[in-house]
Amino acid sequence: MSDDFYRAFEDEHRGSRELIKSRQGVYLPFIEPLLSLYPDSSALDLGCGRGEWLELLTQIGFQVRGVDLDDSMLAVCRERGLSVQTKDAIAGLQECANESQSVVSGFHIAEHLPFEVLQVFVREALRVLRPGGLLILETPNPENIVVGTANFYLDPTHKQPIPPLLLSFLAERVGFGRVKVIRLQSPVDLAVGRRLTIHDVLGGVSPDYAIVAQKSAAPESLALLSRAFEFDYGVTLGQISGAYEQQTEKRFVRLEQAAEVAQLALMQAAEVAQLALIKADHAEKALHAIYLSTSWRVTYPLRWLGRQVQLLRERGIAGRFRDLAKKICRPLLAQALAYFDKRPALRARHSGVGGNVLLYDRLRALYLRMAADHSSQTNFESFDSPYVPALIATKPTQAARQVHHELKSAIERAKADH
Amino acid sequence: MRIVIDLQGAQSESRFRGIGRYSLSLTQAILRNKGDHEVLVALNGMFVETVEPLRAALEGLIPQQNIRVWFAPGPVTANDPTNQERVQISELMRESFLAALEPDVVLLTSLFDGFGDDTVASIGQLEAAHKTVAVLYDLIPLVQADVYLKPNQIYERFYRTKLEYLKRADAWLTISDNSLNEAVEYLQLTPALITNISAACDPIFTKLDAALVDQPGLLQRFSLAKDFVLYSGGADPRKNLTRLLSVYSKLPQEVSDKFQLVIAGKIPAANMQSLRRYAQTCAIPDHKLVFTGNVTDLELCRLYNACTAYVFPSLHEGFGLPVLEAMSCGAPVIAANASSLPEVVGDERALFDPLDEQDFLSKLTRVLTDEDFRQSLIEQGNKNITQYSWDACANKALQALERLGPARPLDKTEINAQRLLQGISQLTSSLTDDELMRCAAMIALNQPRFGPKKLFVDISELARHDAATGVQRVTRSILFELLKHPPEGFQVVPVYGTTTELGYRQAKSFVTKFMAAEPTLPSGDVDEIIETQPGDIFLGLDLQHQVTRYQSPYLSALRARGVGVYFVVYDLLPIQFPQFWPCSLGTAHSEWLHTLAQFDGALCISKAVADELVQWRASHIKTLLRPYKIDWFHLGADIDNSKPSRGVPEDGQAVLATLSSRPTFLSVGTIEPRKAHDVTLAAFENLWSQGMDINLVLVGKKGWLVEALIEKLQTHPQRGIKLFWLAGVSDEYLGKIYDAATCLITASLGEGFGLPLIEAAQHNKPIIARDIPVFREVAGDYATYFSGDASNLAQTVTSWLATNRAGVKSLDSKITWLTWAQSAEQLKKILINSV
Repeated sequence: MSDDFYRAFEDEHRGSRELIKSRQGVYLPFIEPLLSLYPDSSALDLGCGRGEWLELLTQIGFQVRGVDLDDSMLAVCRERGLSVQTKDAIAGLQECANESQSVVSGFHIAEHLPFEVLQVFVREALRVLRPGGLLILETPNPENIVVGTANFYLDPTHKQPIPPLLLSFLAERVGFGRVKVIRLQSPVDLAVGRRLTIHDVLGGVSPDYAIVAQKSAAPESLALLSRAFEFDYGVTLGQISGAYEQQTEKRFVRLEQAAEVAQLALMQAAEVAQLALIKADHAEKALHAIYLSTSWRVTYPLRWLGRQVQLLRERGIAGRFRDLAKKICRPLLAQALAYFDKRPALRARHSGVGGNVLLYDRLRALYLRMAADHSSQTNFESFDSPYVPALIATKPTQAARQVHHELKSAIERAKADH
Repeated sequence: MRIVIDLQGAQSESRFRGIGRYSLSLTQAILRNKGDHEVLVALNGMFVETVEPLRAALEGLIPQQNIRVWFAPGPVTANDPTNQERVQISELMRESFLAALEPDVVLLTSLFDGFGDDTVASIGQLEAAHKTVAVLYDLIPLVQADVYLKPNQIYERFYRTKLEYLKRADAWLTISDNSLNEAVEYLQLTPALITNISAACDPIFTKLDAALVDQPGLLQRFSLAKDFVLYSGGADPRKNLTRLLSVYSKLPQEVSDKFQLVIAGKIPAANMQSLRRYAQTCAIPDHKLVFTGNVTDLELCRLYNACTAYVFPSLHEGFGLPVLEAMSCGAPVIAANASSLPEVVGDERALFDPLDEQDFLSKLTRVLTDEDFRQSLIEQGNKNITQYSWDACANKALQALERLGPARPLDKTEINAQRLLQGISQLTSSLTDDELMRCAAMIALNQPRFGPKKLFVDISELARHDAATGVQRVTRSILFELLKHPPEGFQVVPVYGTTTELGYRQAKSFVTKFMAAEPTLPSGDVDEIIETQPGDIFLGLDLQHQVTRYQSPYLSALRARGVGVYFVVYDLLPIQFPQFWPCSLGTAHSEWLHTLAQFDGALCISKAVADELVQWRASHIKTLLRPYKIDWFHLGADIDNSKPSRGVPEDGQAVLATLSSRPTFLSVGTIEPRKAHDVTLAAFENLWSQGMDINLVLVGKKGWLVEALIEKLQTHPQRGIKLFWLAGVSDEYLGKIYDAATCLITASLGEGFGLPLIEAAQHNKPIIARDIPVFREVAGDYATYFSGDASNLAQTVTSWLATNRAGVKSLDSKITWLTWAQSAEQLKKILINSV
């Protein structure tokens, strides 16, 4: 592999210098308090690459040293006046004195090391860290299924993916006082509450994570970093798949309800048709008309179902639900309710008393809920809607405000009159 | 009288059916035959996608500003009871809008739409001065209430409400005597107030040459044998198709062997299947019964032309247009002796009892076997169709409207507005403040204008900051002239938009500063969002790519409203020469052009640019529905009028003295690749090496992508001797340099206009210019032209010097140039003629 290969690869796949630096900002809450503990803090970055992290640390007041085996990348560091050496990571650690460093870090290096070497690495790090010092190891997150099964292997020098549990256990086992897993750069924000897709489940978990391991120290020293350690970072596979599951569950429940309503409406249609047939016995002309009516109505459910099956194929279950509710169920429900309302006896038979919920009550409840859904849907954010022409999607004009004022006064007057 | 046509019939779901075509054809014919009447067309803004096609369909028949779009809060489909409140509000808003147009009569084309679409149609919900006339197509749902109303109570309620509205009309137009009679019988309408204006079919339905009928492969396309019986239209039960199948199956063997039965038109799959099943029970072989599915008008026309006979067994029609279409194509027609069909067919012998299979069978057999009978039906049909034309319908309709006379002397507009607000206040219980605001905004849009039309002049870049570019000099000068001398009947309103907020704002505070006027407004006054009316004009004067792109939905909406949207186009250079600009200016410029090419027109700053734009549009823009105007005007050149800068540097006199000492060629313009200064310099290096004693002066600041050239200029051996590069020159100093120079020289590869040529002419200096259209346009015979590279230019300069060695300045021709006032006059003329 040519010397420049890794630099080219990194340029292509890890992102620009500024991007990487901004991402590394997530560690600042951990790092900065160390400066008040040790104003003369040193930091050692193993596999320092183009030196983004070294630069960040220098800016906040650390004395830094980096090592890396790739001279073409180190050239970038040297151009920027950073102190770096061409050296193996373990060798770089071994030449440090005991308790000499505040921070030891390795970004995307752990996955390049055989596990035995990684063990030596973590142990050596513990040795060279001052009490309360931090080891930061960042690596691809195999909990992200796309990363774990595919993207990890994009880099031919990667050995094997390291699950967060393994890496944090290793640090604890070696003797670090506390270990925090930080999941980084999740493309999915569960707090935003948008509709999750299967793609989100497969690729939405934080694609990288880091462990931040702290060497034991006096409690008052540890307290300085407590806030950073308490906070939860990133999105886990469990969280994202759980949220997806919940969402799907909700959609199925709503779909079942819609299907139930549709079935009720069909039953009602059949009933109407039957009544019509009986009434039609009397006159031949009427019979003719009603015969047509019956055939139309009887074939209607067939046509409707046919169309639904086709649309379901085209748009999927989830996509159909909203259309279904809007286009079919609300008018059908309204019709069903109107049918009951005109027949008090029938309605009485199907209405419950007290807590006893019968057919009519369920229809009514469903209808009201859908009506409520519907009105909340008619919000007018976008200006491509036929109901919000661009001309009124602007801030109100003077004339609009004037009319609004008059309209409000008129409504208030009308209320007062009543 | 003033007539307002409510054309929702051509906007709603009906636009896909007969009513849509009827509404539009009738409207077009009324506009053709309107005489002295003033006609306005009202459109529903909720059918936003239909506005442009309808404006296009009426283009040339009516000024676009007489097509008015109104707004009301939707959705209002009546099949959803939760829309009820919006329906009522919308009805009031529409009626109030119509009343505010102060018509004598409103003609309603689609009272019965709005169950499954957003049509808003009511009569008499708000007291008004005008009279209302409704077109009544049929009363089929009422006449066959058991079939159409009983099964659907929500629809029945909707339909009966509409019937109540219908009764409130002052007069009615029906499409047949049959519909007229039904209106009297079922609704007890006064016969004297109903006029049958009849109908007509689209002129596309006509007799074709035999050779055209089967082209290309019509019969093959639908698997048709040579001879067939045709039916076209829907498949509702009332169309009586099962009986048609039954009768067809009973044709004598030798007849049915010969003729297929073809059912043309879009029929729902389920209906088609059940008809197929029914055909099987009648033992009709599959290949004998053909369903064409949806056909185009032209295909249908060919089918009419190709069929042996056309049969129309419908039990109930409002008119029965397919009968006329078939006759117009020369097909013999037999039809049911029911509803409107006897009057439309106009031939007793062509009718059969649609419920009596025996009678039906014998008529069908006869038309297929008795050639004399067939021919006589065709002849009768030919005579019959002459009575039907859209112009005839329109004239009957206009007479009916005229009979109603002028509006009642009733109300004033303010009272109308008052009534609307009161009406809404009685209705609303649940509107949120947001929805109320939306209603208010729509009502404001629906209100008529008081005061002059407005010319909105977009100065988005200038209002933000004056970058003192060439474009901005134009923007400033034109704006100044427009504000001083607005086009007649217009008020000029400078506006600006941003990329963060939809809509344009009135640039009040900018104008106060710009015109150096005393502030007439209290400070802290905000620039308001503009209010527009049909007939206004929006002129994109400034060049601001991003703002125009961001505001394009708003500008499209302005256009739909009837505001003319025009842009000034300075050049297409970033598209023609993308290599001469850094990064993606070419893309931005092309996107900007794509945006403005969708509006009403472009005003270019030279004929050359206009020609280029025409060419560019031809290859980049799909043909629009409405014509796109491309015109040009010239820029002004009276420098004194655009606030010239002053000052001559310390070494100025020395430089001017050197320039005067020998022949001096002057090149004016920013140093940038397009100006091809490298070509000019190379030509002069060539001339200097030949020992020619001449100066080259470049005046212009450093631009972009010219690092190598600048380096060369700064280190050139002739620098300060025969080569001068002067940047940051004031207008005053430039004037002196022109006076000291011998000749203007420009090798530029592309320009929008070419102001330096005019400046040279103003200083009586000759010109050597590259031979490009815009220089020819500006300088005509005044200039000496060259084409090609540096050696060509060097030759041209040599021979020019030879002929002008004596320093003779007698110039035969002159460059005529405009003042900014004249330039703005040209611009105004184009704009006002466009409207």
